[in-house]
Amino acid sequence: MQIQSRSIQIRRFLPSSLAAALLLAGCAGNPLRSYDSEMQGTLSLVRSGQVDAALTQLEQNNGSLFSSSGDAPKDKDGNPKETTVLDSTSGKDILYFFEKGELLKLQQSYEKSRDSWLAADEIVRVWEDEYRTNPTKVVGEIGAFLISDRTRRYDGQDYEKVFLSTKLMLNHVLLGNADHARIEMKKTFEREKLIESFREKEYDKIREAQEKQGDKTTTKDLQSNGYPLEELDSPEVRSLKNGYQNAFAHYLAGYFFEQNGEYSLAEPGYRNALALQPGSKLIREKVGSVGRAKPGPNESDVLFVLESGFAPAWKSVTVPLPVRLNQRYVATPLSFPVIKTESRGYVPATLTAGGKTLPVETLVNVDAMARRLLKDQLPGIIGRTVVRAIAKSALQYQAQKSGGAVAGLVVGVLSVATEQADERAWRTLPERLAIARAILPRGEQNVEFQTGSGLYRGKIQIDGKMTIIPIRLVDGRVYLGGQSHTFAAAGEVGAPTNATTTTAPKSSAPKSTRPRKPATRR
Amino acid sequence: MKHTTIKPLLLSALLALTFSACQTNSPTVGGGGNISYGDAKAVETVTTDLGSTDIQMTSEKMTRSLLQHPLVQNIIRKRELLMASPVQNKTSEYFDTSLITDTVLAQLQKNGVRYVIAGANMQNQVDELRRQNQSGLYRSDKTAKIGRMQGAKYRLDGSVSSITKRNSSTKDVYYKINLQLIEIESGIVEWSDEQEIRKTARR
Amino acid sequence: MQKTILTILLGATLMSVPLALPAVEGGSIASKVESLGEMTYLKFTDMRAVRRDGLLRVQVSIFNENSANEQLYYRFRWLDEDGFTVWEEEPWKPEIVYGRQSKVLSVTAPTLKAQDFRIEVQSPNNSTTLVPNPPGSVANQ
Repeated sequence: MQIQSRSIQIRRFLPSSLAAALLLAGCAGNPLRSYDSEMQGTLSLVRSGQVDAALTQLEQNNGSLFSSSGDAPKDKDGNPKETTVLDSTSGKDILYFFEKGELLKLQQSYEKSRDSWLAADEIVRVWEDEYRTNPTKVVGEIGAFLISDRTRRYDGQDYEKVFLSTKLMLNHVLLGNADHARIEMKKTFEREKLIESFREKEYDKIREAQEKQGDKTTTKDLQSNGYPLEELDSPEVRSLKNGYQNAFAHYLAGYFFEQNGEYSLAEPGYRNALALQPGSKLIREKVGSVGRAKPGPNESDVLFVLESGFAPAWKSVTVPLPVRLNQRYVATPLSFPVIKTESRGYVPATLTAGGKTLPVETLVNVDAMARRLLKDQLPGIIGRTVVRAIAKSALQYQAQKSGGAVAGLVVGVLSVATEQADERAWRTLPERLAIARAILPRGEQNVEFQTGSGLYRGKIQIDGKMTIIPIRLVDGRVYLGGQSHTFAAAGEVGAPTNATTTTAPKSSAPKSTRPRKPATRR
Repeated sequence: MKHTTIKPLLLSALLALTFSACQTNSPTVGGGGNISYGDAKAVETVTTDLGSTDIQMTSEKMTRSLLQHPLVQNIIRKRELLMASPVQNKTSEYFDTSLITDTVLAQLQKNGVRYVIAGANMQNQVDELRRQNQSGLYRSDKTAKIGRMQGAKYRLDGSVSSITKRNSSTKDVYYKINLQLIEIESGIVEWSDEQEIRKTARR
Repeated sequence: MQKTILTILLGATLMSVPLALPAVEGGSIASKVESLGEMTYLKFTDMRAVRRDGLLRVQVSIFNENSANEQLYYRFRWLDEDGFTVWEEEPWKPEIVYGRQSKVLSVTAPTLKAQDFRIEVQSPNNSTTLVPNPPGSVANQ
């Protein structure tokens, strides 16, 4: 009874608490900021081709309140380095480095993009090391959190962590650095294994914690109270093995090791990719025939990597759930995350390059991955949220008993401000990733494909034994990239090249590949 | 009875004395962390993936099986040449099969078998030959001549396959590693052997 | 010296009572075995060594007196006539011996130089003496 009257009081004071929440959302380092609304502007700038402006806005959104240049951390060479959350509490979080790396990649600044993602990777590695050295502690923290999910340090969603090293791997290849690409590949698959083991342990732990609390809330209860569970249950979501394994990462490994003549590593790459995308013809034709189709002396094995759209948003919905408080069940409004598709990626059926029409196949559907991840994690999120609600109500009860109405109110306001599901996610990540592949003659080639709002025509430069062409499609706008450094892969015996790796000038990213609609200049 | 109780006391007192007298430091830097050197030959059971023990055991078995074969003893006597083809990896693990063939060749080499390079090492070889002959930097009487490399008479080939089964509590992996020695000219498989490994993990 | 056969047939209890053998490749079973801790259940019942095609071949039989399965780790050390090692350290090899099973380990020397051998054994569960770091110590937590 007391609790119910308390909730009425809270509602009366809601406007003021909302104002407080808004105030809090204003400052950048604040964990309670609404990441989704913050990113909307940046994303629409990318849609209209203004990557420079998007970068500026990203910097503004992440500007530190307490920036001091004096004690800025330095990198190995003594150059000032951007502070991460690992260096100080006012440092930039992983999302900033995620988005920045992506925007820089659209500008074809692959080196800067790589550096930004390496900073993000450092944060992921801290999480990995914590888990590796003390798995029980990291898993144990899951049940212990009394505050909302969104106030925890954001280490990236599972699929983002794997995508991060996939993208780093791609950047290393684009920069012509085979050794780093190889290391990154190994890391990607170790990361997948680590996440798998973490999720298994977490699942056991949450079951155990729920049993201890005597809580039996399930996803069914959530659905019957209005949560759109059916959105997480499409055939596409069900066909995924899990919410983090990336078919493209394995395909890229297959492609890369095949070009390097390391067939025993290329084979599992294609095989794993096929296991994740059993319907793909492009993958199937490679399994069991690694090294068969080799490019000739003046040809190149070209891989088009077509990324399209933006990753979905994570939003918060409030669902009233019956929670056992003081021996009675009370309908308590609790917030849960939902996935909302924002910018569906358009994938053309074919792509024409060098006069050949190539089939384009989607390998990664980030939207489905996010839904799958949420579906798999929902039991854990429910457990955590309900346990927290029980603990909070006890706190509120205590405050009211000892400090009267005012203290109770304070706790209540805090509850409202903190009870929002985690909305943080890497938003410039593509919604879909598709590939096309062909052996093409070296030199300048025409490329053509549908964008969803007309035909795009561009030119690409093909050098070396392997060439990766990154293409980004956002609502009809095309960002066409290119290999900035070529490298002669192993096995190129007989070709009259000099022994050292040829380094094309950085400006070799062809000028003629600008999108048809030129970006608005500022 | 008394003896037994006093003895350890005395001993520990003595030990304490000796320790305080000369504090010996291990020749290590750092410490306090979780890093230490282990036995490279220890049985490794961290995961069900192919690991160090599997590579070591397989290459050991293969080498010995090869050595026993009369053909290999003949190869040693006649100083014929061997090479390793890329062994096929039919599993879904990122496992570099050259780890096995490299070890087999290295161990055979200790017994007098000679082998030639192949695969990824070939590029370095070609590069160096070209550098010596085409760069114009080297004295002509001190360069390795092009066209003198020797082809192998036999090659090692094979495959690694696996069957994985799992249920909610157990993961069982069965590996089969097969190696063959093939006469290159005729394509005849002169020798073959296989190693089976079963690894089981429980949650 | 070359084509000599060393055959030792011993009962399990004879472990501690070495037979007087012609000192061919070096004596009794006990003199060939280096056990890391005494093994309660696993017993060496037979050990043969022969030189064929210049390579030393060794066959060892181990019997598990227990009704439960026992884990065994073993490896060989290869020596020349003067007792020097002629091969790198072998990897430890895991072997399961089922309850009441007699297991035969058959190995060939890795090099023509080997004249003699030692077998290192360790069984984690039935050693009466505690071995601080068993060979199978690189394991998951």
